[in-house]
Amino acid sequence: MSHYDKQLNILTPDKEPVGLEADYKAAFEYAENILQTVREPLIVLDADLRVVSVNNAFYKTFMTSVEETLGRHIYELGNRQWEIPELRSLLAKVLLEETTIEDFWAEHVFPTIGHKIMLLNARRVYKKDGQGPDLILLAIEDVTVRMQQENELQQLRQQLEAKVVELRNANEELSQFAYVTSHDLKAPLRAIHNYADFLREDLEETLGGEQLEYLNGLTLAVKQGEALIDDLLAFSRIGRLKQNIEEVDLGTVLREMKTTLESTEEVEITTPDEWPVIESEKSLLKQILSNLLSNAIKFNKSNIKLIELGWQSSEGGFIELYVRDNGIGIDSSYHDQIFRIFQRLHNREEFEGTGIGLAIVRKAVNLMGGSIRVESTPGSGSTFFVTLPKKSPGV
Amino acid sequence: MEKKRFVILMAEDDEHDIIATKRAWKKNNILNPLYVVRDGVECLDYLYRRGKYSEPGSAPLPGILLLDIKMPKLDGMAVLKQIRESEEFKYLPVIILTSSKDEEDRLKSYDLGVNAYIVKPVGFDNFSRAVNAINIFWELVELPGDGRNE
Repeated sequence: MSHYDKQLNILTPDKEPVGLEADYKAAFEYAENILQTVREPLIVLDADLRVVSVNNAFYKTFMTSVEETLGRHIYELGNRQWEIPELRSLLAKVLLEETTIEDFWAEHVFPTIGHKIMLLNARRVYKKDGQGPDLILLAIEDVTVRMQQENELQQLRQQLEAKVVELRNANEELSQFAYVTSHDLKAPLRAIHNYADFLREDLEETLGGEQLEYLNGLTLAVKQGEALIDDLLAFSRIGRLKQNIEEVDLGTVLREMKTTLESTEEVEITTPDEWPVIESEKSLLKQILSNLLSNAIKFNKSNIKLIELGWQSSEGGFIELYVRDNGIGIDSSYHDQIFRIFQRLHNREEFEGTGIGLAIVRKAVNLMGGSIRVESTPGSGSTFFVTLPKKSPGV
Repeated sequence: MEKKRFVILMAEDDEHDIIATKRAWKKNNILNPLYVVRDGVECLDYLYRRGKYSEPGSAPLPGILLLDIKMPKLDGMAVLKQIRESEEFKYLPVIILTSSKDEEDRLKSYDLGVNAYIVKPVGFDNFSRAVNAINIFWELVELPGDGRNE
C-alpha cells in the first residue's frame, strides 16, 4: 500500500469513491505535495488525535517510519514519547476552543533523540460540506540548535560585556593610580626643592666648585621631576574632569597666546584675522594650542622663529586648523611615535621636556571628538593639523 | 604702646612644612613664638592644657591657629568644629592652611566658621610671603574681648 493510498483510505474511510473522486484525488495530491515540501516537521491528526499524515521532515527529525506512525494515536508514537503535558493541553485547546495556536514553546527529552526545544503551531482544518471529520495540522519546528546558538551567543555577549566592564574598571583604576601616585609625589619633590633652595641660600658663598655643581644638579633634577609630575597630572586630568562646554572664539584665544609668545622670544606669528567660534572646552582647547605653539618655538633653531596659523572648514561640521613652523622638522618614521606618552626624539641637553606634551594634545583632541596629524620633513619645518568639531559632541 | 607678640599655634603633621614654616619665621623676622602640634588630638590637648600640656606655661594661649586639614587622629575640620562650639575658643582666629583645593573642603571650612582658608602656595618664597602676610594681618585685627594682649 502506497503512502498516498493509505492516507486516502483514512481520509475517506468506508466510503465508495463517487464521481468527485478525481477532483478529490487532485486536491489531496496538491495538499500532500505542499506538506511534503515543507522543511519543518508537519503532522496531520484527526479529531481523535490519530495520525492522518506526516511529512518526510517529521520522519527524519524524529527518526521514525511510516509503519510506526500512520494511523496511530499521537501519544502512542515512539514509546509514548509524545505524551508531553504542553502538547496535550495545546491539542485540547485546539479541539475544544477551535483556536489556532501560534509559536507555542515546548521543551522535552525524547528517549530517541534527546532533549529538544520545539516551537509548535497548530490549527484546525475544516473540511467543506462536512466531508469527513475535521483535522488538526500540527507544525513542529525544532529550534534546539537555534536556541543553543542563541544561548551561546547570549553567553558570549555576556562574557564580552563582563570583559568590557572589567577592562573599563582596570583602566579607571590605572588612571586613578597614575593620578594618585603623581599627586602624592608632588609633596616630597616640593620638599626636596625647598631643602635644595635652603642649602643654596645658606651655603652658596661657602661652597666649593664641585659641591655647588652637585647642588645645582640636585635643583635641576628636582625641577625635571616636578615638570614630569605636572605634565603627568595634566595628562591624567584630561577626561577625568567634567567638561565645561562653551562657545569659544578661537580668534580671541589665539590673539592672547600670540601676544604672550611674541613678547618673549624672537618669534613671529602670522594668523588670519577671521577665526570661527566653536563649541568647545576652553581649557582643553587652550592646552592643545599652547602645547603646539610652544613646540613650534622649542624645536626650532631658526634665527626668526616663524609660525603660521590657519584654518578651514572641513566636511561633516568640522574645522581643521594648522600650526606651521620653520623648526627642525620630524622624520616621517616618527610621525606616529611623537604622539605617544614619554616619547622623546632628543636628549634633554638638546631640547628639554618630558615627552608628554603631544600625548596631552592627542588625548585632548580625541576627547573632543577630533583628530590630529603631522606633515613634516627634517630641516623644513612641521605642520600640525588639528580637526575639531564645530559643535561639541556633548559629553 | 607696642602690642605683646601673641603666640601662633600651628597644627601640622608634615615635617617638611613645619621646617619650611620655621624657616619662613626666620626669614621674615617674625617675633611671635611658634608652637607646633602634630595632630588634631594634640591640638585640642594644647588648647585645653591636657596631657603633656598640663604643665603650667607649656601651652600659652595662642593668638591665631594655623590649622591643616589632613592630620592623624582628628582632622582639622573636627578640631575646627569643637573650637567653634566651645565657649573659650569660639573667637580664636583659625586659618586653614592646606594643600587641598577642593571646593568641598573650602565650603565646609567656612560653614564651620573658619576665618580664612588658604591653599599653601607652591614654592618656598611664596609660602614664606603668605605666612608673613597672615601674621601681619592678624596683628591688626581686633577681636571681641581680645585676650591676646592681656
